[in-house]
Amino acid sequence: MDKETLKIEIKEKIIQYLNLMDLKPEDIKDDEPLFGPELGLDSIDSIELVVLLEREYGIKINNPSDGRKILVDVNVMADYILANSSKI
Amino acid sequence: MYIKAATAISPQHTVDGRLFTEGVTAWTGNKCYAAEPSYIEMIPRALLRRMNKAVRMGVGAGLMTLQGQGTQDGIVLGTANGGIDDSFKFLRQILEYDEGTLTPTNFVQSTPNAVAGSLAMMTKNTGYNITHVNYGLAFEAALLDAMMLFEEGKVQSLLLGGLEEISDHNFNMDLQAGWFKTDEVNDTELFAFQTAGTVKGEGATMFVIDDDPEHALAQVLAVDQMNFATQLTLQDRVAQILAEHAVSREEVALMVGMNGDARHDGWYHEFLDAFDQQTVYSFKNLVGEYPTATAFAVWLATELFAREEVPQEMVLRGSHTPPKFLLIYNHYKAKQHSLMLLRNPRV
Repeated sequence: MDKETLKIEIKEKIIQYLNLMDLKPEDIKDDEPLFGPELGLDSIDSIELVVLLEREYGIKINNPSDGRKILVDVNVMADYILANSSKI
Repeated sequence: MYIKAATAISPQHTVDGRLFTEGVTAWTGNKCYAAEPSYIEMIPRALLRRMNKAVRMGVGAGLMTLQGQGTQDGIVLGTANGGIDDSFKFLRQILEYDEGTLTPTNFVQSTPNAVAGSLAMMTKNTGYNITHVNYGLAFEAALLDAMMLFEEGKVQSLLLGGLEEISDHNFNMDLQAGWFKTDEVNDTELFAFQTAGTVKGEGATMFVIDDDPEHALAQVLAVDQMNFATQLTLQDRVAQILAEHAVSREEVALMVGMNGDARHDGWYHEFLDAFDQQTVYSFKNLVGEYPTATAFAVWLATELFAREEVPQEMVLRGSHTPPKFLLIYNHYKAKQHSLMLLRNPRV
């Protein structure tokens, strides 16, 4: 899977997992901070995103500080998934 | 104990009052889904997107009821199942992911006390907070709890309510057990169908109750509940309740939880035989059957007390004039029976 396709898929999964039903994938910018004022995600969402990475891409995050480096924006997530996922 | 404010989210248009201006909303099938209002103005988006239907309806109805009512001394709710569909989702996750990676939202929202907890946090209410889950008597237990708190002088005002959502899992299990109709049924013919089972309903009904009679919508005089009653014990309790409050049978109008189940509506017919002259109202032909439907009955009572005209579908027998007293009799699955006596402060 190329990075552009993966980014769209990540956005769809974020909307699905976090029930952001009033958003479409194109509403989420690639470099928009996930925990910034636009998306307004919080700590419970971060756990949901950790679960998303494990279920969808086989990436297990054991160290919370790793999560902070990965769950920055869709770009960073896509890079990490491409480098570490066994499922794509 | 007086009802000062009331809100019902139900399968009828009860939030905006259209039930009384435009009439009863027709339904067909064996499920009556709630007509939910928009919650965007009252519940922050980040919270709303995590809420299941039971929590959403309960919190929405609670916040609407609390508007302009000041701070309450506590929150007392009744629900048999709360957001049970989230419980099933969480259990499915445990199986699907082999007890591994589980998401927190379904679990957090699935407990019956999620509504009372959410309302307490959103309104910064640190008082008494409890959710009664006594199945078909959950709302009655909440009402009884509230009455005891008032009698002991521990509170002056409370948010009280009952709520239930239609859970597909529970519905399917109850359908297989014969509790719901399989033939095509509608609101106007529910009581005419002489078949087993009823229709499933849902909703959230909230009240602000207070010890001050000023501007009261209704006074709650008594609540009584029993398991495995007989007609004899039922009529004995009625006589006791009426005597305790010096109310004669002639002064009382009745509301019964008739639900069209030919196997168990006989309870209501026999009950009504002892009151052959009084006006009788129904409510489950409007909202379906659910364990805390009596909360809706109490809400409807506050409307009957205030309105000169009501939709004819609510009047099972006789004609409507705002009653002085209303006795509500309900049973859930012919096992859990309850009686509630309300007084109209306007008459």
